[in-house]
Order: sequence, then C-alpha cells, then structure tokens
Amino acid sequence: MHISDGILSSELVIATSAVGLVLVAYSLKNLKNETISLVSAMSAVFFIASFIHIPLGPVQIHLIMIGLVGILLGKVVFLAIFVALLLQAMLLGYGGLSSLGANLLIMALPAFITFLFIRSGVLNLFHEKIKYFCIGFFPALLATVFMALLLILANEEYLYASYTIILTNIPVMVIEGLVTIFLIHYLKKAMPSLLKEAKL
Amino acid sequence: MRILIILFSVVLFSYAHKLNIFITQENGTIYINSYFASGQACQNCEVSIFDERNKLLNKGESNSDGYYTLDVVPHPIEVQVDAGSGHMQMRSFIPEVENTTTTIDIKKELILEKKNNSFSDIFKMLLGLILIAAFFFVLKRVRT
Repeated sequence: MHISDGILSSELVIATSAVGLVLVAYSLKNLKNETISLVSAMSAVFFIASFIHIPLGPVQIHLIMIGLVGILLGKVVFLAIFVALLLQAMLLGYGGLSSLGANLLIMALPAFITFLFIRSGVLNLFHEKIKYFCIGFFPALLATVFMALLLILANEEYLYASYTIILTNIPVMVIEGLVTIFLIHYLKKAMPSLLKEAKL
Repeated sequence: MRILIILFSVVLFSYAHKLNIFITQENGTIYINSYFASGQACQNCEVSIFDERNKLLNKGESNSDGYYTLDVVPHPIEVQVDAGSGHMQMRSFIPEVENTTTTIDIKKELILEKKNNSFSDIFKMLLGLILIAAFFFVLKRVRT
C-alpha cells in the first residue's frame, strides 16, 4: 500500500510533504522520554510487518499493523511510521522518497484517527472481539481509501486502478482485523499497561 | 539536531531529481521508459544497452516521452540511461524469449537471482531494524 516515486504530481508531493512535516513535528513535540522505547519498537513492528507475506491465490499480501501501532502510540504515531517508511524507501524500495509525505498520510493518519475513535468510547457498545477486529479493519480500510483518493487526485486515469486497489485490499483488511484480535488479547494478558492510553 | 535536519533536507532535495527506469516487453519489442522522480520524462537522454559481458550492443537517445525501444534479444541485458549532470541509472532486464534453448538458461538465472535477493532482503531488514534502534537511541540522548 505504498505509492512509488513519479506517480504523484509535483503539487501533491509538495502539499503532502508539508502536511507530513507538520504531523511529524507534532509527534516530536508530544514525545515523552519514557515512551521513546515503545515508539522505537512500534516503528520496528511496522517495518517488519511488510515482510510478513500471506499468499492469497495468485498474489501475495502483506500486513501493515497500523491499527495496533496507532492505539499504542497515539499522537506520536506519525514519528514512528515516518522513520519506518523512510527506511523502507531507502533500503527496500517500498514507496519512494518524494512520495514519503503521501505514504505517511496514507499509513499514519488512519492509525491516529483509529486511536481517537477508540479513546472516544464509541465502540464500547459492541462486544470486545468486534471492537478489537475494528481496530485492525478500519485503519486498513481508511488507508486504502486515502491511497485511492491520492491516486485519483494525481491523475484521473488512475480511477479504475483505485477501485481495483480497494477491492484487492479487502482480504488485507479482514486479516488485519483477525490478527489484531489475537494481538490485543495477548497484550491485555502480558502488558495491560500499554493499552491504558487507548482505554482498552 | 538542527544540523541533522538540514543534512536530511539536502538529501531529500537531491532525491527530487532521481532518475527511474521502467522496462517492459510487448510483441517482440522492449520498451525502456525513463523518468525523473517528479514525473517528468527523461527527454533525449543517452540510452546504452549492454549484454551480460558488458559488451555494448546498442546506443541511442530517448524520445520526447522518455521512451527508447529495441527488438527483443535472446539474453539478459543491462540498460544504462544517462540524463547528464551526474544523473545515471542502470537496470537489468531478462527478455521473454519463447521456444529457444536460451529460455532454460534465463529461467535458471531468474531462480538464482530470486535466491540471492531473498538473502539481501533479510540483510536489509536487519539493517533497517538496527537503524531504527540507532535513530531512537540518538533521539533519546539528544532529548536528555
């Protein structure tokens, strides 16, 4: 779910880079010394998640784990994902450097929105497992929609490609939701203090 | 910290003009598309085609859309695009050639290249993790 170099127009690159820079600065401002280790670990989780490939018929999909990263980090999620995206672009060729801002908005913004959503307590009406499934499912859905929107804004020719991206990422969203259920259950037993800020 | 940000900005600006190459094959013709990271086509850029032994096979210039075409050859090729002013990129390409004895050799090379790439991916993953840890370690030191 990364946009490579040369896909987005110059105006979009500048706009998304500027917004991305502001968000990373916001994260740096809200970063506490005690949470730097957690931010580092979550950045590593996001970086490694792209290596976990799940074969799905003729294609292979990979996890993104932005839901879990979002609820554990909150406001500092932008810094964690920025560092991971930068290294993915430089070392692995996933995404690009000029599209770093756009990829940051695609990945980190849904994670932060999910954090705000969970903290508001709206999902407390539902069963625990449904809530945990939504933590994995919705950020993946938002990320796909944001990516589709950016592609359409870049060039109208990408309209049908955007629809295809949304359809092909539905299995990713479902798998993310299922994996998140298990992970949050484990964290609640092993390290419940991590979930305090998200009020889970 | 300020010096790091300035240095990083310099690197970022230098990547704004990164040259990309995209190679496809269709109906017996190889299409080489060269473009900058900004999306601008690499017009009238020097394109050189080498074989596996680095022998020059073909040389020419890309057109106004950044495209250069050549007929399919029955062996892997190295494509070099030179946009001038230090902007140069190289890409390998293995053409699909049907019903020839070289197809088996090409497939063997492809399998070998995939095996080599999986080792380098693991190395890059470990390097990425080390760099993440190093970045946040330095950040913690700077803040304290």
